[in-house]
Order: sequence, then structure tokens, then C-alpha cells
Amino acid sequence: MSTNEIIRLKGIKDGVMVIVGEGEFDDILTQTTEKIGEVTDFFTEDGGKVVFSGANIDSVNKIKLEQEICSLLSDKVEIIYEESEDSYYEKMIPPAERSKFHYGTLRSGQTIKSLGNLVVVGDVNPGAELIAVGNIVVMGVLRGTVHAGCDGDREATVSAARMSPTQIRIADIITRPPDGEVATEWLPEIAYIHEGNIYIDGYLSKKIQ
Amino acid sequence: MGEVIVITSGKGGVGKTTTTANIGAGLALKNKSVVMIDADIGLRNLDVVMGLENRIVYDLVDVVEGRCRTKQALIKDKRYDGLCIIPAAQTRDKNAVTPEQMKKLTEELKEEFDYVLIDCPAGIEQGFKNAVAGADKALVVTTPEVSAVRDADRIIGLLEANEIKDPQLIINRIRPQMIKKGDMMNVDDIIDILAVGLIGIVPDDENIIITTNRGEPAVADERSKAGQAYRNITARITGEKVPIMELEAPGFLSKVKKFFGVKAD
Repeated sequence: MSTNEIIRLKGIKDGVMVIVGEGEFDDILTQTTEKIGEVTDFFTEDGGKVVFSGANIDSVNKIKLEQEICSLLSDKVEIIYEESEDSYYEKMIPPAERSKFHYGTLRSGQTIKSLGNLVVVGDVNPGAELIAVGNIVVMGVLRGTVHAGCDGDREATVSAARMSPTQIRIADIITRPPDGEVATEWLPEIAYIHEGNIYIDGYLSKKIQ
Repeated sequence: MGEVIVITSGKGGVGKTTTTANIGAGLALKNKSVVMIDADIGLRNLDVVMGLENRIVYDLVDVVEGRCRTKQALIKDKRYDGLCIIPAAQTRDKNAVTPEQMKKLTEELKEEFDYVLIDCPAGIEQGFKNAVAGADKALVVTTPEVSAVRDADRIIGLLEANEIKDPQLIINRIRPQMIKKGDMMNVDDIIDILAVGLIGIVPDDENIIITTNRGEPAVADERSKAGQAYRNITARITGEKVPIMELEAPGFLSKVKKFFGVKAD
């Protein structure tokens, strides 16, 4: 999305819906007034509805926004904010299908949780913890503890560019690497549940290797 | 405008205070003005290591609580011009100081000194928060032990959370003989895990214990290997490019020489 397209208007019953994307508040404000300015005749003297959906706007900014809209239209305009839980984008993509990304090394004591998948572009060190409802992918060395499918999804997987985890948990099954065995080479592997046990396999085809 | 550097590790006993004392003395040898602050309130050591214990009148808590001026609490070192320390209070605990007070103090000190070194206490509680509050840079000390590296990793994470980016690593007490035999983590293994820049490695050296007990930093000792290592680190802090020290395990020949009383080096 280009920067001059942060917001989109959509006609709804007795008013407009303003779908707000990610962006600076100043841009949101100018674009909203600009776009609503183009459709002022859509509103009558008795007011109408302006529904904001998408990104959360904090209360100070809400006041600024309301002032602008009221001066543009009339004081009777009803302004409604759809909370992020049931906002437009939330409806389009349920949280469980989204992925969270973390860039950089995850260190001891740090935890990342995700309602969807979790991708770490970096290493996960011992003492760090990854928890996801969906799958977990580590694009570096996995040395810490991971829990994929923490809501009980046994189909979830954990993959890493190099596996030497402290512990792997998938759904309700916990496993740890055998004592004394240390992975020394870079071999991308995937952990999954098969017949109630966690298995770890290389996932590159022979050809690629 | 000077630079505030905190020396930290997470784990206790890896050599934070010794490192602070040696880097402080090393910078002073390079004609820099340096002040070292002992942030380990209640367990003060830096003054002992520097041999200045009997000169303490005012301490860090006196300064932040306004019982004396900052100047009055500065203890001038007896050997190096331009080196001062602010000792910790021994009768109080870490909660006697707040991060805001430390920040204010370091701001004031870096106007006057080229370097402000803060000796951080072990742990991640109040003492750590105080020590890192005003820091611009951090040196993380670790030893080639799994537990020390684990704690260093945690500390690096906390430093990043405190907006102190790119801490640099000092690996202390390396024993080349043990690394050669595969009994000790080597430098590359540690860097691999911690993923931060290395500013120096310090070999294990019995002389450090002797010099520390005497209250004389090893950095001034031309014959000491650890002293050389600290001189290198000091040079890197001032921006010089010095190659990382090669640590050779003593070979068979040098052992024979030693056996016959011939000096190995």
C-alpha cells in the first residue's frame, strides 16, 4: 500500500465507513478530511454515520478527528469506532491464520507468543521461549524451548535451520533431545507429531542437499 | 563530552570489578581522565581492588542524597593521574539509589571526564537497573563457562531492552590448554551464541589474584599476559585497531624449558 492510500471509504447505510490502514496519525487525519470533503453531499443536515474501522486511534487523536469531521459536516454526525477485535481486517483474516515475525536473536529470558504462526529470523538462545497457537519456524539456530500448537493442535510443526532445542512441545506432547547428543552441522529439520510421538526429520529433498 | 561505559555480566565472580579496575587504570595510562563508579552498593569492592579503601570519606549514596558535592566523593588514585573513583556505600543497599539519580550523576560526570566507567553488581534487579541507567555503552564480561554465557545472553537482552545497543564482549579467564583439549568452550562457540562484537579476550592468569589482593591493577605489569590483554582492550576502547591476542597453549618445548628453569617466553 502506498503512503497516499492509508484510508479507504466505503458507503454504508446512512453514512460512510472509513477503513484505516497502518500509518502516521497526521496522514490519517489529512486523508480522512480530504476524502470526506469529497463526499459531503452524502450527508444531510440531520447528520449521519462515520464508522472508523481498522487501526486503533488513541483518545487524544480521536478528539482531533471528531473536531475535523464535525466542522466539515455537521455537529449531528455520529462517529463510531469499531474495536480492533471485530474490525475490518480482523474479519478478513482471523488471528489464527496470521504470522508474527521477530527479527534478530532471541535471548535468554525473552518470550514471544503468537495467536497464529511464529517466525523468528535469527537465533533462539537457551532460556528463550516461543509459544504459538500455530506453527513455529526459526530461520537460525534453535537452542531454546518452543511450544507449537499450544491450543492443542497436533498438526502443528516446528522447523529450524538448525535444531538443537532445549525442549520441543507440540500440543500436549513434550520431548527433549537425547542426553549427550549435540547437533554439530547445519541441517534444516522439522518436528511433527506422528502416532502420538514427536519426530524430527530433515525437510530438504535429497536433490537440494 | 565523555562516554559512560557500564561493565556488567549478570553472573557474579566473572571479573567485572577486576575488569573495571584494569580498564580504568589502562585508560589513565593513556592520559585520559577517568572516573569509576562502584554501583555495587552494600558489597563494595572496587576501592579494595584499587587499594584505596582507607581514603573513603563520602560515597555514592552521600552524593545522590546531597550530603556532599560530587567533587568531594571523588577519590584520586594514588598511582595514576586523572583516575578517580566514587565508592559504593557499604551500610546501605541497592534501593538507596534510583536510576534517575544515577542518570543525573553520570550526566554531570561526563561533562568533566573522558570516560565514566560503572562497575555493575551481579544480578538483574535494582542494582543492574541503576548501573545501566546512564550508560551510553556496555561491556559484557563472561567466562568460558556455560552458566556465565547463559547469564551474559540474558544481560545482553536486558541491555537491548534498555536501549543500549551493540554491547561488546570480554571473555575472561580463558585457559588455552583446556580449549586445546576440548574441555572448555572456545571463543568462536561463545560468539556464535551471543552474537555480539568481541572487544577482547583475557587469559587466566594467577598474577591477577596477586595484583588484586595487593590493590594494584595488572594492566601496568608489562610481563603479565592478562595485563597485556587489558592494555589491548583499553586501546580498542579509545578507537585503536589492535588484533585479538593469540593464545597459544604452552607446547612441549616450553614445558621442558620451564622444567629446566629457562624462561619460556
